[in-house]
Amino acid sequence: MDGDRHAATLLIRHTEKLVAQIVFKMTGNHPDRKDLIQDIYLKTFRYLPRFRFQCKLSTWVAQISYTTCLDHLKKYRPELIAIPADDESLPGNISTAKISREALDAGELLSVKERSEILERLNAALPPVYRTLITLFHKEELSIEEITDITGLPTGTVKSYLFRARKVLKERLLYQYSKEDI
Amino acid sequence: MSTAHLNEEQLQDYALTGITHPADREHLSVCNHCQVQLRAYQMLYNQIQEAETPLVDLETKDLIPDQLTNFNSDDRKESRYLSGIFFGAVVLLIAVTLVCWNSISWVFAGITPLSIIIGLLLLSGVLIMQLTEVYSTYRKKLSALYMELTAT
Repeated sequence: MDGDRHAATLLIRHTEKLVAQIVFKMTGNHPDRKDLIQDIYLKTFRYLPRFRFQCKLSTWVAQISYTTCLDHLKKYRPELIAIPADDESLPGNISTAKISREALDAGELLSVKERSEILERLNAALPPVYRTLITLFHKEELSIEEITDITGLPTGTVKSYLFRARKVLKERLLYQYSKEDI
Repeated sequence: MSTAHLNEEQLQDYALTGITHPADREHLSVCNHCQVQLRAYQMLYNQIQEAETPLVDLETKDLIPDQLTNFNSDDRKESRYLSGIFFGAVVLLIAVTLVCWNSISWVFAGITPLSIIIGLLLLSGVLIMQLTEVYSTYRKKLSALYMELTAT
């Protein structure tokens, strides 16, 4: 029994960051966040005997996290993948002539905390699935194949969502700097 | 030198991997529009990278369910049942053979040493295949666990 508990602790320590990233990106600051994380680990331990070593254990736990969050979000029916129309039209509103490369470089002088806050604001405009994909790919440095395993989305869809999410975030970043530059 | 701006896909890739095409590098050196777009993508990737990982404000022990032992004992119970059934079947087969030896001994009467050797070879082949399968599964599991543990 002690061995089981020790193994369970190791499993949690190894996967908690990835689980937290998925839960936070999928649900934001939802009050049910803690319950969701507990639910994810409850499912993990319940279904652990069914794990067939077809992928990394962390990928399997991330898969459980993603589907649990998705089921949770479906109850509230938010837009999971649709980007709001005003965001799609944002590029047309920004003139890059107004933004100099120096203005962007000045952004690097901001503190990490300030930059994190800007990113949070930019991220808030993205639907949960896009936010999660961006984090898994760029922050957690997972491969497209691993993201495909976790989300169950086809490879082409993952690539296309990542492309659109990056584009929207970049446009919003430029918009942010164009406002500050003016 | 190309005067056409780089497309979004090229900008996204170059921000990730660096500029690989000489003509695009040349264009970027003179085009403010593309420089700004590329810099924006680079900044975005950097900001995502350096963003803090959210913390799970829960104790590890709170995430381990109390019924953990029950989950595992269910699993062990199932494997114990399977072993029991297999062992019982073997014992039953041996018992039936011993009890009915007189009536079934004719089955083995015509067996030549050559057929015994062929039978043993076939059996050994099947056993070796099974053992190889078990060993490769074991190695696969060990390497998966090793990868997990070294990553921690």
